[in-house]
Amino acid sequence: MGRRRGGVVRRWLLLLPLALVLALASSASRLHVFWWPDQLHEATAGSQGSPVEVSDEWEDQDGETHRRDLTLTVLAVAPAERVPTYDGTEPVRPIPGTVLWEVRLGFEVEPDVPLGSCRVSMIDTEGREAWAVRTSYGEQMLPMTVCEPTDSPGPGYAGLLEEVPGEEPSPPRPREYVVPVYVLAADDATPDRIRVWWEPPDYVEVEVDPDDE
Amino acid sequence: MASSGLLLIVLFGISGLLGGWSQATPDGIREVAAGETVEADPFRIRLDEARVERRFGDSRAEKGTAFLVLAGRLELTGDEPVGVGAMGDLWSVELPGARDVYGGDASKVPPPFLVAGDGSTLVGMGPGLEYDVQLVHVLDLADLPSELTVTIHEHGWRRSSLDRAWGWHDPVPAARVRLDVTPLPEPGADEAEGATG
Amino acid sequence: MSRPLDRLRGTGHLWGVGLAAFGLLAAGTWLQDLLPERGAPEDDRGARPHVRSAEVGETVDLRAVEVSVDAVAGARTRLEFGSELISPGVWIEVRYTATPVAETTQLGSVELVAADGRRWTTVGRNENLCTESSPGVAAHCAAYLEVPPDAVPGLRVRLAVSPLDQRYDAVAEVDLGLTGPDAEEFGTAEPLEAVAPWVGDGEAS
Repeated sequence: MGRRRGGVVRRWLLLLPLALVLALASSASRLHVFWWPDQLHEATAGSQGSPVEVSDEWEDQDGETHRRDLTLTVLAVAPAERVPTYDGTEPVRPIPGTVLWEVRLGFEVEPDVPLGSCRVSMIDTEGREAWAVRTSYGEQMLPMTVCEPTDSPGPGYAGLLEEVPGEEPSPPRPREYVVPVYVLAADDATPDRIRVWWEPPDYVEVEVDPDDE
Repeated sequence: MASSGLLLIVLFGISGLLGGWSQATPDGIREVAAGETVEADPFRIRLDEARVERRFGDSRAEKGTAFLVLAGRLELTGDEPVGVGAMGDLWSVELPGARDVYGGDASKVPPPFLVAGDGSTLVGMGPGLEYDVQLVHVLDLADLPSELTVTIHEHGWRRSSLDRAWGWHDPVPAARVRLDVTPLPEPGADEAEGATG
Repeated sequence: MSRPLDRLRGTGHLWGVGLAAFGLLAAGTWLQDLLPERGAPEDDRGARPHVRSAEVGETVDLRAVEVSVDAVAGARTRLEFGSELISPGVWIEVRYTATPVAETTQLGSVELVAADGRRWTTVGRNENLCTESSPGVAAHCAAYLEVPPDAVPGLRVRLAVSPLDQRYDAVAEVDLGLTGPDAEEFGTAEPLEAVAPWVGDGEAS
C-alpha cells in the first residue's frame, strides 16, 4: 500500500517540472506585452567620428509600419562653452559639481524623413546614464533636444511640413547638417558612449572619447 | 410551469434578503435653504448667498454683463485628498447663457471653485481644511435670474473598474439649494446703457 | 408506465443540481467576503512599498534617487511667482535634495501624513517644485502643501519617485520634527516665497 502510494506521488512529482515549464511558457506573453518592446535592445553600434548607417522602423496609429534610413556620426563630445539663447548664444556659466557636455551629431538624411522626438543620452564609464533633457542650468535654460536644425526642421509624422498659418514656411531641411545636444552630468562622469534613439527597441550606441576632437 | 413559478419566488426571496430592491439613495434629494450645511460625501458644503456683482477681484464686468457670484464654505470630511474629478462633480446649476470668467461656456459644466481670500482656483483639496469659496459665472444682464437652484452631488467610495484604485465615483444628486439672487444695488448708468446696447 | 416517476426524478435532479450550484456560489461569495479584498495592486503584500524612515538631514536611499529633507518651514501665506495664496490652515514648505543614482530621474511624489493618518498630496494648490537631474547631480527642490494646524505636530513627509505606481519601490518617510508651538509660530510667520528648483552644488540662482 505504502509503496504504491509512493510510486503515485513520484509519478506526479515528475510532472511538476513540466507543469512549471508550461506555466512559464503560458505567461511569457507578459514579457512581450509589458516589457520587451519598450526596452532598447536592438543596438546599432559605432564609434566616434565614423558614420553609422541607421535603419529604424516604427508603427503609426493606424498600425502601418514606416522606416527611416540615415547616416549618423557622433562628431565630438566636449564640455559646452556656449549655449543657445532666444537670440543667439551665450557663454556657459558653469555650476560647481557639474559639467555641461555638448554632443555634436552629424546627420546625413533625405529631407522628407521625419526625425521628430529623438532621444539622446550619455553613458559614463561607470555605466550611469544621463539623458539630454530640457532643464534649467542655473539661470540658463537648456534647449530642447532635437535632431534637426531648429530653423529648417523636416516633416512631422503625418508626412507634411508643419506650416504655421501666416508664417513663411521654413526652408526644407538640408541633406547634411550638424546639431548640438546638451547633456548635464556630474563632474566626476567621463563620457563613454552616446545613445540616440527614436522608437524602442532600436537604438544607436556610439563609443566616444571626450579628448578626441 | 409550477416549478418555474417556484423558481421565481425563490429568486425574489433571495434578492430580497440581499437587499436588492432597496432604494439606492435612501434619503432621496433633500431641499436645503441658503446657509444650511449639506453633507455630501466626501464633502461638507454650505452655500450662503448668490449676488450680482459688477466687479470681481481685479476684473470689471464688460458692458451689458455682470458677475453672478455664489459664496459658501467647503470642507473635505474624509482622510484622503481628492482631485479634480470629485470636485468638478460636486455641484451643478443650470444657467442658460452663462460663461466662465475666461469666456468659455458654463451653462451646464460649472466653473471651478475659487478661494475667497486670494482668488486662486481650487481643483483639489486635502482633509481638514475649510475654505471660503466662490463660484463665479459671467452672464448678460438680460439672462440674470432672480433665483437659482444648485444641485449638490454626493459620491460613493469604491474601486475604479479600470485600474482598481480606490476613489470617489458615481455622483448622485443629494441636495438642492434654492438661493435668491441679490441684484445689483442700483441700476447704474452703464447698466442701462449695456442693457440697450 | 414508469413515466411519471421518471419525470419527477428528472425535475428533482434539476433542482438538486441548481441548489448545489447556488449553494456553492453562496459559500464561495461568503468565503471571499471573509478574505481581505484582493485584486488591486496595493493589496499584494509583497508589492507594498518599502518605507524607509529617517529624520531631517538624513540621506535615504530610494534606489533610483538618494533624498534628504534639508529644511522645513511654515506660514499662512505663500507667494508663488507673483501670486499670493492664503491657506485656511498653514502652508508647509519642505525643502529637499534628490540625487539620481544611475539614470536621469525626477522625484515626483511628495505627500504629508499626519499622526492620525490623514494624508495630503500635491493636488489642488499644493505643489512639488522639482526638476529632472542627471546621475550624481543633486536637484534642490521644494514642496508646498497646506494642512490644518492641528496636523502639524508629528507631521511626516513621504518622498517617492513615482506618484502613480509605488509597488515594490522604496519610499522615504521623514519625521519633520514639528510640534504644537511650531504650528502657532507658522500662523504668524512671514509669507513663504516659492523656491525654483536648481541643480548642482551651488546656491539657488
